[in-house]
Amino acid sequence: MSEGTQNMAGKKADLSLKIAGISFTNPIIAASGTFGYGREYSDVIDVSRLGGICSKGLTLEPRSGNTGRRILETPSGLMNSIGLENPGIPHFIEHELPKMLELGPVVIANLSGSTLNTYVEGARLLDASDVHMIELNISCPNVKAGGMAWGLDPKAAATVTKAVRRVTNKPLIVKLSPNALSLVKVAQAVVNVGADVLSLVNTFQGFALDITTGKPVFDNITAGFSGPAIKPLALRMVRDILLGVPQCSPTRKFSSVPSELAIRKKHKKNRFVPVIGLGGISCWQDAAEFLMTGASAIQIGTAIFANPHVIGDVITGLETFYGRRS
Amino acid sequence: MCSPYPKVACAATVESIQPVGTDVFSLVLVRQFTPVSTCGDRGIIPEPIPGQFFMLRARPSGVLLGRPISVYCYDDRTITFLILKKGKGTSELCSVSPGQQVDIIGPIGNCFLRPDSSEIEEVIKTAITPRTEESAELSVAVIGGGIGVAPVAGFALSLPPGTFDFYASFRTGTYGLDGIAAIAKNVIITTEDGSFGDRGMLSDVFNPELYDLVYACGPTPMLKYIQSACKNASRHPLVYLSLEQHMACGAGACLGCTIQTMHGNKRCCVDGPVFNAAEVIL
Repeated sequence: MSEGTQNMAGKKADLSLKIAGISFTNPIIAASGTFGYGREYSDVIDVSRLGGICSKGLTLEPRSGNTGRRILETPSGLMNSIGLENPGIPHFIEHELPKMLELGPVVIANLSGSTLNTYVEGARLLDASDVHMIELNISCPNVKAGGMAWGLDPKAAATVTKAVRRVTNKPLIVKLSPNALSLVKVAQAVVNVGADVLSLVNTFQGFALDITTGKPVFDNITAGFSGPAIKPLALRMVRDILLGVPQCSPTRKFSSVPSELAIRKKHKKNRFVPVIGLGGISCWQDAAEFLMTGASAIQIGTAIFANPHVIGDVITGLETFYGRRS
Repeated sequence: MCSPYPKVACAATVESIQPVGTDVFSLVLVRQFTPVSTCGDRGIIPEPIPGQFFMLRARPSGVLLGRPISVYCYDDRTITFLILKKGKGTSELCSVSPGQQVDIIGPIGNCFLRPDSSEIEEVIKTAITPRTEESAELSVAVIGGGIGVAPVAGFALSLPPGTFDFYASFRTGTYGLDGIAAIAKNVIITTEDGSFGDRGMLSDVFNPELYDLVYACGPTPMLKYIQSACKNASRHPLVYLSLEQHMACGAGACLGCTIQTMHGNKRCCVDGPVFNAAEVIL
């Protein structure tokens, strides 16, 4: 039981919302790479309570991922070097997607790639499928070609987003890398070429050395860093985007009122691009912090590994919290 | 294959914690649990099958993730684990007190196929070298190295008496062998310091030529030795190895614990932890 939930008896808030035209029962989404294709957790928790599920990062061709050690826990954090292991988009569409759609939550396909062409071809296949949304992953730090390279530079990010946008009418989320030198510029660039939603942050690039061997812990040298340790960094970046990209504004329903970001009202004529916040969220209070900062929805990832019930706890906690505020 | 038993994620109460060897503790958890989450239920931890494991984390804990720990034994009321104090997560688990709670997810994974199972019969039948004496009983070896003795000892205790030889290899001293001497045909123990049984390692006492079926869990160098010794043995014994890997989710979702096999990557947590030695690349 998260602290405080017990004391907040009373009515429960309706957390339902629309993101890019898609109806979510609540703003809680399982983050890509931490929830498989949804069914992996269906024997321990009620997966249908989630607002949405992001698939494991998908590429056009199957990938076997990185060699060597893939996981290293650090104080309040987790380093991973999975390397986008996945069965390929055609396999996903044929074998995983139908079962994923039966689970109930909004199905979001996380699309990655190496070359521009593989992103586009992958997007074409997903566009013809029944996935509800596409999350364009230009931020995986664990592959040598592609992935994060596309998300570090505004021009490269715009190029891949524009190319994918051209071949799909599905709502397009672009998942940003916190490793970009100027995150706001990357965000603005992808919004300008048609991103419907932004999600941030993917993992931070980290490094670990094995002092007994003097060699890097990971075969791929660097690894993605996630978990509670990154939460303040992620939250700061979400706020930077909300302040720095005119089209991105808080969803009224969840943000703190009066919000320091309410100033965005003057940009009314702009297309509204919601922001999905993620990074280290491990309890409903963390989720509320992101939502009150202005995120329209949140994703939970690493915290699920330690406690799959965190999903239900966050949803119940937010229902009670917003119920009391209304 | 083993039937996919239901899993739970809950907090279990510590019944007892006892040192049983150098840095090795026996942790007994009560199977009946009450909800600790807004969405948890009360219930009972499902009965594990020998070879399965749980993700365990002390409550409260300074670590993020549960640690994969094999089931040693269980009864209607409790489940017992042997835990080697190795890092922060296992140190916490070895320092819990009776009444305290431990976060658990499980039981997880496949199990050891029993010698009398139809699956084993099928595999033996289709083996490269067919057995000549069809009626003869399979000659079985169960091998544990260090803390790897826990899952194989639990498995051995579920086999009919007098149907297997039990090997246990330790650095120093022994643990986890309760009841084994009474049920195994032969018990062969080695310690590196000679403090118990024969001084030496498994390779000094194990003769792969004697067996049709081998089950093992232990350090990777020991498993590599068993894999290669049995591959070269004239009877081509069928070998099942229980493998260990760093894990995050224990649900098959994160792909952090993959094992390389002849058939591509397999997840140690849910495709294993028990693999046919002829298929894994160690």
